[in-house]
Amino acid sequence: MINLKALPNPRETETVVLTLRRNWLTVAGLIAMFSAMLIVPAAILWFFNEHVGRWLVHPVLGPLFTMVACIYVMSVWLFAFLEFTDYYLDIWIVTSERILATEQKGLFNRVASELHLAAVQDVTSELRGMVGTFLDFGDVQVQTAGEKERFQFDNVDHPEKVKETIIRLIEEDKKRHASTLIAAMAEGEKSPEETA
Amino acid sequence: MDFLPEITIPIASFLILYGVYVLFYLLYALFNIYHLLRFATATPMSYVITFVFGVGSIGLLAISLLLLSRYDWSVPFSITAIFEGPEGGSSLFKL
Repeated sequence: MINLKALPNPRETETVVLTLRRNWLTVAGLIAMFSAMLIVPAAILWFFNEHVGRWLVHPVLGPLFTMVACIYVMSVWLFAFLEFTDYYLDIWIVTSERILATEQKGLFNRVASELHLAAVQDVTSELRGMVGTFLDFGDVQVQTAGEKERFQFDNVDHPEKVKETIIRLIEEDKKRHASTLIAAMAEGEKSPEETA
Repeated sequence: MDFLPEITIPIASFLILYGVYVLFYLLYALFNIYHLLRFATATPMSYVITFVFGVGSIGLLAISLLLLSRYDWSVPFSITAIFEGPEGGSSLFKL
């Protein structure tokens, strides 16, 4: 669960409704890729185990080969973690009042955007391909009234439900704003009488 | 290759490369952990991931140091042997 205090510019009346990340297939793809990066060289070394055995006992090649192998395995582990962090830090949070998008682009670039629900004009969900249709994941695009770049949630689970939830939240936000406005207007009408 | 002087260095020189790599690894890992703890909206999962990565990294470093410590790093490495090739009868290419 997301800690509300950890959100940028937290508001008292706000509640977190959706916390979205890319579908688990993204992580599965990363795990498969990095596993292959370890398994394929290991299989090649096992296949040539006679030669490898001779290299390992060689006084010069042995330590150099071991060192290169250690560096390779550590690099795979490090870059797997970097890629996972990149995935994990790409997050879209929908609250009762706004949409927060955070995207990590590499290790040193980070884009954080915030959009109030009142500014949303159109929400579109998109399911693509056989895998996306069967596993029910796809993109959700949130278009604002201005010429700003639209928000896009990439490969999130249940895009149709996400779209419906955002539309419902927009309606609730409109009602809340309308009632606040009516109350303010009523207050404004009262005050001249009260002052008289 | 008679025109080349016989140059030998201990293979321990390569440990400098390993040391530089370990520094690079630690720097990148620390940057990554900082990102995760600073920006991962304070979920317990971010601590779990950091812990798993930390344990894995310490394990890999320990294993690599253990494997490398089994070799005699004072063995001289002939740079000239690289240019001589297998026919030169160098110790490097005698497998």
